[in-house]
This record gives sequence, C-alpha cells and structure tokens, in this order.
Amino acid sequence: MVCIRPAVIEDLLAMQRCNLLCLPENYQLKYYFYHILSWPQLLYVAEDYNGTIVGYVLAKMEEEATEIHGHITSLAVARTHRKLGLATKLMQAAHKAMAEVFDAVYASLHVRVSNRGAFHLYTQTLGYSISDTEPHYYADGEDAYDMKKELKPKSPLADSMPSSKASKAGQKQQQGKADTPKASPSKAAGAAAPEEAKEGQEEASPKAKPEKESSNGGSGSRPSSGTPKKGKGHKGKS
Amino acid sequence: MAAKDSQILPSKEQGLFRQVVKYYETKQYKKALKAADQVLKKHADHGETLSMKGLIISSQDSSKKEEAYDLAKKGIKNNLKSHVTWHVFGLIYRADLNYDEAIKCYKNALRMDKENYQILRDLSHLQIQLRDIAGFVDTRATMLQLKPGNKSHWISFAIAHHLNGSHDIAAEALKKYEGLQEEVAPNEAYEHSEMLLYRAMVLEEGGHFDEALTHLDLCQDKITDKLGLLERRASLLLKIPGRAGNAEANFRKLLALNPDNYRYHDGLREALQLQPDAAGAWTDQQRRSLAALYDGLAKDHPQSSAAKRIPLDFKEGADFKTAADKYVRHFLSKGIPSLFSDLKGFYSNPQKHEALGELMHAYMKALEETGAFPPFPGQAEVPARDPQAREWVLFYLAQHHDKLGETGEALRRLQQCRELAPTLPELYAVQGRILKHAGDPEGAAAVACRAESMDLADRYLNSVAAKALFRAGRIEEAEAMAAKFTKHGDQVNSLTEMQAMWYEIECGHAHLCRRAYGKALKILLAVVKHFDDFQEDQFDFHAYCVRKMTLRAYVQMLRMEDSIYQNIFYSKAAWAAIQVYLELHQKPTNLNHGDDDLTNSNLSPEELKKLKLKRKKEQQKAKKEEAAREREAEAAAAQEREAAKQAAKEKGGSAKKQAPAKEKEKDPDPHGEKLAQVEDPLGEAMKLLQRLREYSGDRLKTHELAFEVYTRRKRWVLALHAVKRATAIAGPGSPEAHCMVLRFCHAAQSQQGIKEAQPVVAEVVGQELKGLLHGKSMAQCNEAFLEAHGSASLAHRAAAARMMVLLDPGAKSGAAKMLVKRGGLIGGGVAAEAITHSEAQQVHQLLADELGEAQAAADFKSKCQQVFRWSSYFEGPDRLKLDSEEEVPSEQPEQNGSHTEGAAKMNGVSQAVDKLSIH
Repeated sequence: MVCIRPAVIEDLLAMQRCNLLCLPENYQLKYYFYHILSWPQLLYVAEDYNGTIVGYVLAKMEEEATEIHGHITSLAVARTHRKLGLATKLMQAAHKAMAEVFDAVYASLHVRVSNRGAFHLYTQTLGYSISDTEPHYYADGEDAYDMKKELKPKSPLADSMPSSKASKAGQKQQQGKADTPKASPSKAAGAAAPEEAKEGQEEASPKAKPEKESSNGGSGSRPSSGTPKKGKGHKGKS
Repeated sequence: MAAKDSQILPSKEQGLFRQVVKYYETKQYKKALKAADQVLKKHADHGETLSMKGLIISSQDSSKKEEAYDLAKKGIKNNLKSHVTWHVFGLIYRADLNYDEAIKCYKNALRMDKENYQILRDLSHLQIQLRDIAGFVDTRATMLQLKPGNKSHWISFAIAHHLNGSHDIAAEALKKYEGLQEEVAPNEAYEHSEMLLYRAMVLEEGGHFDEALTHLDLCQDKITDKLGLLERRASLLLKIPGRAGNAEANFRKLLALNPDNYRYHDGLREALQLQPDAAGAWTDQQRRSLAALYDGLAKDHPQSSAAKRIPLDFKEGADFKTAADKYVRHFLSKGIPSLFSDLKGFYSNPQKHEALGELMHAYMKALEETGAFPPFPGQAEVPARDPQAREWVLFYLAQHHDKLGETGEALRRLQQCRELAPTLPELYAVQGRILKHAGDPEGAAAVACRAESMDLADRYLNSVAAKALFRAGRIEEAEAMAAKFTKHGDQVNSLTEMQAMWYEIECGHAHLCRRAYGKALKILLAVVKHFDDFQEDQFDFHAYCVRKMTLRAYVQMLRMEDSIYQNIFYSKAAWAAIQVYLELHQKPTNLNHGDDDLTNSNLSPEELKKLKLKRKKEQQKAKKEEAAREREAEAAAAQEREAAKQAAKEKGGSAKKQAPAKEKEKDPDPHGEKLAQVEDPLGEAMKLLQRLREYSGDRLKTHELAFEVYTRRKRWVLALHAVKRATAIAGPGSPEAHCMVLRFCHAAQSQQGIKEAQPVVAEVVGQELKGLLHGKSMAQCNEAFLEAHGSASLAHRAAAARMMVLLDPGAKSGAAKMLVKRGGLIGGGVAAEAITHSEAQQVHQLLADELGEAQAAADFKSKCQQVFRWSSYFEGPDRLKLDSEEEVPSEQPEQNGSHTEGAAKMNGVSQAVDKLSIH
C-alpha cells in the first residue's frame, strides 16, 4: 500500500509539495536542503504504490543543546492516505535514527494546543508527554505544547537536568526567524574580506531560513479559528 | 611622488584600513564605512580602500549596486597590481550573482598573489557552483599543496576528483585523511562515520565493489548509520558476481527491519533473478518462484502490505483474482480511502480491472444480503458481519466506474455511499474528480468547495478546492480559497514566496484561458525563477557539507541540481509561458482585457452582449478587490514598520542585528502588464525552449511547442528537429507526429525564399522532406495515414481531416464528412474505442472553427450530449446548472443551455450542488 523509506535528495520537491498541500506552516526548498544535508538519516517519506510521496517527516538534531536530542520539524500525511498508520511509522523511523545514528537522548516537538488528533497520536501512540507550554508560539497567537519523548533509558544524571529552561527560552522562535542555523550568517560566508585569510575556518553555515515547524500528526490539520502562520522565507542570497 | 607610492598608506591609515576590513567581516557596515571614509579623506585615490568602500556599500544596500561597481572599478584603476582590489571586485560580482565575471576577477587577483588562500577558496566555490570541474580540481589541488596539514583540504580534494571521475585518487585522498585523523572524539563519531561511508561510495562508483565491501566490513564498528551500512552492503553484494546469495540474505535482513520498503523487495527479487524482462514480462518459471517467494514473505511478515500487494503485479487470471480478494477485503473493512489509488495501475489491464469489478460487485451483493463479506471461494466459513464495509465498497466502485468512463454509474454508487455516510468529505472530493473527468469543471469546483466546507481546518481539502476553482476558471474565488491558509490575504505573494508551484501553475493556466496574458506570464515566470533560486541554493552548502561531513548527501545534491530543470513543474510552467508568447505573437494588440476573442467566436450578438456584460462585472469586482487588497497591504506594511521601530527601540538601538525594517520592495509590475508588452514574444519563447529541449526533451509537449515557435520564426532546421523528436516520442503513427510532419513539409515547400537565402538549409530540408514523406506526396501520405489508423480512432481521423484542409482548403466539407462518418462514440475511460472528453472537445472545435461546418458540429455536439451528459462544454443535460443566479436577476430568464460560468458566486454554486442530479 504505502512504503516508509529514508528520503533521498530527489524526494525534496515532492516533500515540499506535500507540505504545501497539507500544512499551514511552509518552507522554502532550501530549508529542506538544509535538513537533508545536515542530518540525511532523519528524513523519511511515505511513498504510495504509484511512486507518489503522500507523507513525510522532517527532523533534525539540536546539537548545541545541553543534552543531545532530536527535534521533529514537520510531519505530514496527505488526507487521502489516512488511517494507514503512516504518521506513526514515519515518527518511529525518525526516532530510531535519532537514537541510533546520532545518539539522541530524547526527541522533542511542538504541537498546537488545539490539535487534538495530533496530541492524541503523540501522547497515546508515541509516548510523548508535555514538558512545557510556549505561549503564542504560532503566528496566529496560538500556544504550543513543547513535548518530549525519551529515546533511551534515563540515566540518573539526565533526571537532574530537565533540559535547562534558560536554553529553552533562547530557543523560542520569533516569526520568520530561524529555529536553527545558529552558525554565522551567510552574507559573510565566503565573503570574508580579502586581507587576512582565516585558517581553518573555511566556511559558514548556509542560512536556510526555516519556518516555524508544524508537527501536526497524521491529521495535517489546524484549528479552524485564527490565521495560520504565514510563511516567511528568504531569498537564497549569500 | 610616484603613483605607486600613493598606494602605500602611512601606518596610521594602515591601521584604519585594517579596521575597515575587520568591521566589514563582522558586518558592522556603518563603522566600516566611517573608517574607510577617514582613510579616503587623506588618501582619496587609495585603491584598496575605494574597493572596500564599494564592497561595503554593496553589502549594505543592494540597490546601490552602481555606486559599488563604480568604486570598485576606481579602486582597480588606482591599483591594478593589488590582489585586494581584484578580489573585492570579484566579491561584488559574486554578490550580484554574476559568477562568470567574479571568476575572472578572482583569477586576476591570483595572478598578483598566487597563494592567497582566501581567494583560492572563493574561487573554488564558484567553480563547483558552475560545475567547472577541471578548474575545481586544479584549485583544490593548489590549496592542498599549500596546506596539506589542513585535514579538510583532503576531503575537498577527494570530492573534486570524485566528481572528475578519478575515483582512485579520491579514495586514496580519503584514506590519507583517515590517516591524519588521530583518535576520533565521541562527538565526531557521526562525521567520521559519514566520511567512511563516503569512501565506500567513491569506491563503489569507481567500480571497486569488492574493495568497497571490504572497507565497510573493516570499519563497520565506526559506522553509526547502521541502516545505511546494511543498505550499502546489500546493494554492493548484488553487484559482485557470485555473491547473490549474500545479497539475498542482506535484503532479507533489511525486510525484517522494514517489510514494506519496496526497494528492499526490488533488491531481493534482483538477487533471486526474478526481475521481468525489458517488456515487463515474467517467464512461467519466474512466476512460480515469485509466488513461492511471496507466500513465504507474507508468512514471515504478516503485517506487511507490500508482501501482499506486490504479487498482484505478477499474478494473472484466477490467481490474480484470488490474491486480490484476500488483499482488498482488509482495506475495505478498515475503511481505507486510498484503496482505489493503490490499485489504479491495473486499469490499463482489462483482465485485472474486470476481476476487481467482479469482486466488488460480489461483495456488494453479499453485504447487502447478509451484512457480511461472502465466504472465500472454496471455503464454507462465512466471515463476521461487517456492515461498515458497504460504504467503502461503494466508495471503491464509484472510482472504478469513473475510471472506466461510466460517469452515471459512478455517480449512482457515490450517491448510495453518501446515504450511508453523509458527512464524509472524501465523497465530495471523489465526486469532484468524477465530474472533472466528465467535463464539468463547474460542478467539480462546486463539490470540491462543499468538501472543503465540511472540514475548514484541513488544508488538503482547501488545496483541492482551490485547484478545482482554477480549473473552472474562477480565479478570484480560487485565490480567496487558498488565502484562507495564508496570512494577510495577499496570498499570491506568500504562496510565491513559499514556492507553491502547483498553485502558480494552476493559476497561470487559468489566466491563460482567460487570455489575461500579463497575469499568466507573471505567475508562470515566477515558477521559472524558483528553479533559478534552487540552483542558487546550492552555494552555501559547498563549504557547509565539508564541515558537516555529509558528503554522500552533498554529492547527490550536486547531481540532483544538475537535473533539476527536468522537474515536471518546470516543464509545465515553461510550456504554458511559451503558449502565452505564441498567443501574444498571434494577437499583439488588446493585451489584457481585450474582447477580441469574443468577436472572433461564433456567438450570437445576444450571447455576446451577455458575456461582455459579465466580463465587465468581473473586471469591476476584481478592481474593487484589488484596491481593497492594496489598502490592506499598505496598512500591514505600516504596521510592520511600526513594529520594527518598536523592536529597534527595545533593543537599545543596536542596529547591528536589526537590519533596517525591510520594506518589501514594491513590485513595479504586479500584474505583468509589462511582461505582456514584450516586443519579441517568440524570442522569449525561444529562450525558454533552449532549456526545455535540454532537460525536457523526452516530453512530447516540448517539441510540439518548439515546432510552433520555430516554424513561425522560419528556423527550419530547428523545426525539423522538433518534428523528428516528436515522431520518436509519440510514434510515427500518432496523430501528433502525423500533423507535424505534414505541416512541416507544407510550410517548408511553400517557402521558396529559403533556397536563395539559405541554400545549405534548403538542401538539408529538401532531403529530409523526402524521407519524412517516404517518397509520397503529402496527399498520398495523409491518405495512407487515414487508411491505417482512421477506422479505429477519432483522434486519428481528426488529424487526417485537419491535414486534408491544410493541403486543400476547399476540402472542408469532405473532411468533416469523413471525420464524423465512421465509428460510434463512446465516452471517457479506458475502453479501446473510447474518447476522452477533451478529445471530443477538440473534434468539436475542429468541426466548428477550422472546418466551419456548422451542421456537422451541431450534430456532433448533440451526440456528445448523450455521451458526455455532465459536460458543460457540450451542455450535457446533467451538467451542473447554475440558474439560481443572484447576479443576473434583471436579465431575461436564462435561456436553456447558455453558458453561465464565472457569474455564479460560490454560494450559488453550493446551493446548486444540492440540486445536482445524480442518475
């Protein structure tokens, strides 16, 4: 019926299309590039028997956090392909890769507080629990639950530091601002002044301007009230 | 003072200059500029400072490009021998995306300072961006020689050689890198693992399968990507002679991890030599082996749907039916809406789709009688009651009959289904597709909107509705629909920003149909631009991936970028844009709101009046909406500015991060009016064709459009090429190829002029003509075509009729008679004789317009009304009638059969849906 497999670069445009059809939070292609070129193992697609991409999960690692953990950036399944458990399978595949390839301790995600379907999937099926509520996380003013799921048996140490609030606050997203690349901004990338060449520092991070992520579960829905987040991208200038 | 000395700054200014550079690097442009001006106050002709000032200005404000270039040029003039001035000039070009010029500048700079690391690095990035692989290899080699101790240089060097096809050197360099690596720190385990996997990739692509395998086995403990490792091993084993058994074992291991992954199934079958031949057929022996294999897999992996689905591909006859029976019941019981889509591939195989139909009808009967599925053949056990399954069998049957072109039956089944499940939006979504296929875009849009209204929070339904509205020509409503999920209602911008290409292409087509050429071009060319941006997107990753060590993904990304213009979105947008240019070429006047299309059509004066009135209303409404939108946008912009000011204040005025509130640059041509006033539309079309022919050359449409453009431009050799490619793709017996061949010959023969003007071309074309016509005359050729294909196919007869008239304009009525004489008419679907709605529409247009045979056209239309009962084009009796118009109450009551599209508002449509007659 539908196959869950690791995404390849050739899937990115189809993933972007699926995202645009299903979810209110959208991203420019460069943001998909950024994901697959940073953590190629953390993208999975659901491909139907005709070769169409009908769902995907886009995930990443929070490498600079105190505890190494993965984060689900976006999850979508086309309405036409519901009831097959695709969202669950996509998520499980991403979790497994986070733990196995990147040694992630836990996975996190954000979900609209009103998105009951997704919330149910995360808590009941996938074992996430609420770790925090982020007020006005979404552009339309809606709050998000910050949810977490342990991927590895907790070490006694991990218990004592429930992922410091301070770094949390720092992560809170501003509209149009990145969830991610914290590395040096692109304008300077490769455009450092001619005089002194800096050893070893050959590059800067691509400034892929991400969007606020949406982890809408299998339903791909949003509450009917309020405006969805407007996509704000950037032009690929460097 | 010698000129040269003026370029050497005293030590105080030297310090200042260093500050300029430092501030620039940290993006403190204001301070950088101040320091530069301080230097220039005393040394107005200091070249390097002038250059830096140009660079700073160009970084600060892209609108001051001119000034930046002037300064940089002045800098070079004053100090030709400085690598700084040349490098800076290159950087400005690069920021301006003029890579070719940038490379030239960098190379000049390197002439002054051969070993300047930074310039070499910048140069190498441009070379790989432009795929100057040879140059990239040279530059990376130089850099490695300069700093062999820098480990990352070995990586870049390896990539360069890998891309250059020197896999051995690349693999060697990676080994060297590994040697330089001391202990791998735990936090670098992933990077190291990726490097090792990349080395395996290089070895594999270099044909060293054994070595790649050994390498993977040796370092398997250091590879963190266990799944990737297993996948690589399995596919390597496939390539090594004599290792098929190991490959099989590996693929079985992978299937144990994910039994639904089709690629693992493919691999397993390949290991067992169970692939079909080139024509997709299996031998009987293979079928038996496959059946045994999949019996086993289904037992091993009871949860796997792939293990049950794949056998349907190779099973035939009764075996197929038995297997399908087992497969589909599960999904019908569970109410899986995508079952039909999963099986639709079988609808090109009459035996298989008939079997599926029989199964469904048998289920229906049993479910109606007993509430349960029938027992499996040969089994007595009656399955448990399953009352829910009925609606899903009906849901399947509706799509089944639609696929077969049986619109009435499809809609009847859907209605039955709706009685069981009235609140299911999917039913309306399917109904929309049925009506679309039946030629009723109005009805399709109406039901799609209905589906959307049943779950307003679902963007998927919203997207489907927007698309259907575009197809119905209701552009404004489609835009409003999509805007529900974008922020300010200026959806075009935001959707364009988000690269929503499906949307842009639908919108462009709708504008094209409305002959709003400017708007169509505006949005279609935006899609073309997205692809240029995708190319640009690579740039930052050249350095990034070397640091992240995601080298496999990086190389795959480069390859994907190399063929990105093959993407169907690009083709569709470029095709439609070329169509616009062709029409602009045809009718250069009355561009945007012209009514000239109306005067040319065959409408009665009364109808004409009505249509014009309608258009006027539409235009007025559009204007009003637009004014409102502009007001809104302005208000929003003002708000943003205010917010930005506020934010700047809160941040204590630090202007460093807070870029000056980015005011959206106002689009000087928001509706593409200037685009539509292009002086040479065919020239623009030729530019698009160049890339299409390179990347979309396997698609017929590319060559059909190329033919139209090149014949109009009298570019005979290029037109000839299009004819040949089209013939190769569509087949020599196809209507498309036939028409192109004859039209080409006809046009070329009537071009006496070329003999004198282009004797060589004339000779080539002359020779080719003989070959294309097989030595026959054009009329003979057409007759032979008609003889061979005409009796079975209306589309072929239409092609022949068209050519008859081309060769003899007096033959119109004869052509019309021939066209409608033979054969009956079966609508839609997959039956051999059947024609689709769009084919029927084309034939009707041919009769009515090109042949001018009003009577024949009317007769054909009335036949079509019976076949395409839901067609709005043919005014079929069952189409959605929107006669409950609130828009035209003062008018005479609608005449039967007059077009009303476009006038109804969405409410009217929804009301009309309720009245949709379903027979």
